Amino acid sequence: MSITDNTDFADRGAGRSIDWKMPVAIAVLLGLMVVAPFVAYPIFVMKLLCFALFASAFNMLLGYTGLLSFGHATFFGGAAYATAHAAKVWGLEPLTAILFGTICAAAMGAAMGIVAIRRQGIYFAMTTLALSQMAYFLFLRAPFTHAEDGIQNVPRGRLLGMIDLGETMAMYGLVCAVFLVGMAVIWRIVHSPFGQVLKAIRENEARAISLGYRVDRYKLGAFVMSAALTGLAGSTKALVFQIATLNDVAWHMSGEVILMTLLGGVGTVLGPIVGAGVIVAIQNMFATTGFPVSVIMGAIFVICVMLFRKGIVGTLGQYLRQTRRDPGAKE
Amino acid sequence: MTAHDRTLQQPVAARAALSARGLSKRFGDFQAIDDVTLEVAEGTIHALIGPNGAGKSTLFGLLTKFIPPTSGTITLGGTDITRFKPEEVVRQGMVRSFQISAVFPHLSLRDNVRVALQHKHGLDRQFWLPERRLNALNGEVDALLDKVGLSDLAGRLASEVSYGRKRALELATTLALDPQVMLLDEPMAGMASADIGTIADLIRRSGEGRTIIMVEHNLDVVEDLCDRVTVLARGAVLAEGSFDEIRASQEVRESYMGAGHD
Ligand SMILES: Nc1ncnc2c1ncn2[C@@H]1O[C@H](COP(=O)(O)OP(=O)(O)O)[C@@H](O)[C@H]1O
Ligand SMILES: [Mg+2]
Repeated sequence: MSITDNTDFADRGAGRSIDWKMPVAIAVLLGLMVVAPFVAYPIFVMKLLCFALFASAFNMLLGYTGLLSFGHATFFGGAAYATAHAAKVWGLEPLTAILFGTICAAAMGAAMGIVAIRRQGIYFAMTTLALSQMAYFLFLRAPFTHAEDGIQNVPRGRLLGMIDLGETMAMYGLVCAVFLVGMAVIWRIVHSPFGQVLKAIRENEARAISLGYRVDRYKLGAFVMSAALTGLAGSTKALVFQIATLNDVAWHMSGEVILMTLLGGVGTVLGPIVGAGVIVAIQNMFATTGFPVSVIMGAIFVICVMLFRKGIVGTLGQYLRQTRRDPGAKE
Repeated sequence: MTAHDRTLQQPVAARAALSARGLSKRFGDFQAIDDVTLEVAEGTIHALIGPNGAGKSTLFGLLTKFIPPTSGTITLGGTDITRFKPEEVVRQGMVRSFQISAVFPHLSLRDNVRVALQHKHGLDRQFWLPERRLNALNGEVDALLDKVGLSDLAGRLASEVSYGRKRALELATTLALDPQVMLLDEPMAGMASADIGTIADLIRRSGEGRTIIMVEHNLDVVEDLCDRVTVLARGAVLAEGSFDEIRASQEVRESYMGAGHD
């Protein structure tokens, strides 16, 4: 219970307040997705969508279960390797290759989760970090990852054997579809009977146990689902950039996704998407200037922790609620 | 069990709902619980009293397996639960509340109670179903909230209501599990005196057909509610008996009730 304590969790059960907000948010998001590739580089938008899904999958764990993982790079980059290998060496159809990467990430999630889930708080975070460092060295040594070179020139292939994903807009369509499916799955999990138990565990684990819940099982379930969805994002990214490298399994990738989630607003559905957008945009802006991006990331992190702990979406939401608060409803 | 009348209790088989034998707990060098043997008869309300630091909360932790005992055995309704996990103890029918108010702060009062019901209704692991399926439980939830006088606030977040109401909510959540044995750790601490009567009534009513063990400092409440009293001091049982016997005991008077009470 560390970072999540500071957060104003927006949901009030099967809340009435989301009734109008969700359709509006979805419409805006869809509109942006249609317009974006015409006003920005499609490859940039695709990268953004992959990271937005990554951060959302991570947020499922931090924001809705209260588990801070420092090892999600393993699932993101590991799935990228698996998909790249499947597409390049085995010549698998792209959707199948993505599915393969996702399943591999789920398996890695199960392995890491079984070891880490019993530890509490900071020990959980440290265990995931240690295990993901181990995974990093395994990926570095494994013959199929080609060490520093990575798996390059991954063919995008033909979707279902028909649509050539070499066409930028076809690839963009696939990324959009993956993103929407991934987000829908996350939304469903978070707003399900299972998700309700996860929130209870996040709020007060001892109380959840005292109500008879085997909390380790729920946490492990959430961990594996989060790993799988992270893998979905990593697999898709491998096809977009046609490359899988050590960069995606390194610990700073785990740090980056934490930053995205915190910046956007932990425990909110839109927060990680916004956070990913801001971070990816900043990285792109400074990538060509030679200015050290890590300095900016550090500065953002400090500002985020000191000034708005609820993140962009969390702070906005709080502001909106305060201005609309009905004074008659006071206790 | 049907209409239950405390004054007409059967003299026969006052079967033990819960019993602990030789229960001990060491924290490092510190003997927090020292060879405690305790027997709680089915259908009674049993008070656990004693000065702060006597080990009452620790004993609750041991009985519910939240804290692993150093030695001793625990039997719940004839089943040896000494090696159970805490959640298995709950499934065996014994539920505890906590001394420090234990609610789910960022969930509504309704959701707080509903979470407790989800497992019983087999609606706790479906990640593919929409949350609104849980609305099927709302009738039961509202009845429980009504019992503790919180129906008006069902939609409020638990973090937004007063301390006394959090305690009432906790009681509703515990009752949702319909436990055979209920362990309440200072259920009325920090409550306004107006609310104490309400909660005492509720505990009395919910005691019908159940066994309750409660830690309580308010001796008027203990006298009013409890059939038997165990006094704990420095981790050991100092005395056990009816309220009047305990009040009469010189030893207890010195160690606990002090000069202030009479
Ligand atoms: N986890 C622990 N580690 C060490 N000492 C503890 C622990 N839990 C409780 N104690 C000690 O055990 C004693 C009994 O505490 P507690 O059961 O909370 O008392 P009570 O509920 O009767 O006021 C206290 O002296 C407390 O400091
Ligand atoms: Mg205590």
